[in-house]
Amino acid sequence: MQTVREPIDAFVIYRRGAPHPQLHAFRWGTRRYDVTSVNLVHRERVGATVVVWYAVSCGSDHFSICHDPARSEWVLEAIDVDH
Amino acid sequence: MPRILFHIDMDSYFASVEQQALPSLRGRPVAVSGRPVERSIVVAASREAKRHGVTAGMPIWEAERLCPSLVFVPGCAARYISVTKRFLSILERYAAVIEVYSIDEVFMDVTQEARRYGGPVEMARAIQTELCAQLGEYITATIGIASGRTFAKLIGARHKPNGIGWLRTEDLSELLRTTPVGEVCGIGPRIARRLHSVGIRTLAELGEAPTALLRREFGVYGVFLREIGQGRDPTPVISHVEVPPPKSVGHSRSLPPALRSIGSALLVLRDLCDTVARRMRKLGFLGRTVHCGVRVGAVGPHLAKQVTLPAVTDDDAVIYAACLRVLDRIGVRSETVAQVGVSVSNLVPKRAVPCPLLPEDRRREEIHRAVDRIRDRYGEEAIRIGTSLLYSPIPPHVGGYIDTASGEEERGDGGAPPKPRGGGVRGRALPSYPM
Repeated sequence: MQTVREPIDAFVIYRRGAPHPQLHAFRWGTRRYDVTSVNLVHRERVGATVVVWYAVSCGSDHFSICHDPARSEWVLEAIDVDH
Repeated sequence: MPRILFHIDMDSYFASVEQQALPSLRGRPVAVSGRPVERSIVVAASREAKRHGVTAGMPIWEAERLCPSLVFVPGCAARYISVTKRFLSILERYAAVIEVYSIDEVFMDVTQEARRYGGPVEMARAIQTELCAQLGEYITATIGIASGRTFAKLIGARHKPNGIGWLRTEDLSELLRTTPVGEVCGIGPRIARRLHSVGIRTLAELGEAPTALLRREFGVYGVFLREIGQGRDPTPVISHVEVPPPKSVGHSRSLPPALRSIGSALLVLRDLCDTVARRMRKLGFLGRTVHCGVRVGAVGPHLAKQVTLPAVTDDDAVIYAACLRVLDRIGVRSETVAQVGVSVSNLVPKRAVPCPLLPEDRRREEIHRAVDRIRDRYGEEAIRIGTSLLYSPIPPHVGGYIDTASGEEERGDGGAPPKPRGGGVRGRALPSYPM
């Protein structure tokens, strides 16, 4: 994975009863990426804040995205350039 | 009615979680480790890597020799803890009594619940299917079913990966006859060697051995071993919501070569005391006995002693002062120190201890309360003791060092590089020993 750490716009659905918003697509720079599969979602506590990490695939590209609900921020943390 | 116990063991857990998160790792031999340098070790190997002979605990250089195409992935504690929590929340829907044995292993007593699913095997299949659906196709579990914990674990280990092993009562005698004693959890290589020396090689032979002989060799544990040899393991499954209070709180660190002088080791020890005291305050306990240990030299002996304080404490400075007294008694002065550790035992709940009377003690307590509030809100790294700034930055290859081993969810690697720690004040005089 290659670290990016850039803010992104996320297209999500807040489903009733779901533990975290469902990520459908995101815009990084000028390009839109449609999420084809959510591989893993995990939570992480940093002090009083719980951030949610999404490991997603958009076709053959893989992304690690972090969501901070307290700040309503979505950050593209890393991309897989290994393949 | 005989008990029905499940032993659920996640297959190649850390590696499977990494493969689930990153599809390009799937089907490839993967080793979760620190950073891939010579001195690091493999923490977990994927099933593809295991086929090449790579195992957990193996040095990196040896793993690379066995499998040149091995992909090294830095571990992410927060990710594994989070997945384990989800895995437990799924299991809680199936049974009331679940014992968390480790981060990737649980025991479940399903004696009452199995009937609802049409039997234990059907229930195990339902659990496997749901785990796969909820956690991801690459995170699989093997389930061993038996009437005792030892046997559930044993039979499960024979059906890895993603299998279900059921030890029926009628198959027990055959299992006892053919299973070497060393294959059982709780009989390590040293106990196995001692059993071999008295002519006991299989579980059946263990069950037939005279109680007096086993008691003489192993004490009370010998009686337990004989029961195992007879196919009985009455050890109960203790629910994870009824966990008994801790007996001790401790931390230890293996030091990278750059921090192996006694001065640097003391700085790390000071930090460990801070971490231990913080955990004690979080748990609501104070302790009286401080145990401190060091490993001298890369493969040298582990030297440790303990002191009992006149009063209980959860103050990192008091714990550190006690550690220095211990080190003084051990006589560690100028050697290379490869590992340091501290633990506090003799714990009592804080609510059972009167408030401090002396103004200085009250002031210290107020400082701790303020520090804890800051850490609760902004994270463990938000405020640190000043001496932690005296170390050089942690070498980049020391993966996992930033993560604390507290068992709490804390910021780990998470695909992002760790935050630099300390000011890297090189050239400043390190405190001389003893402080």
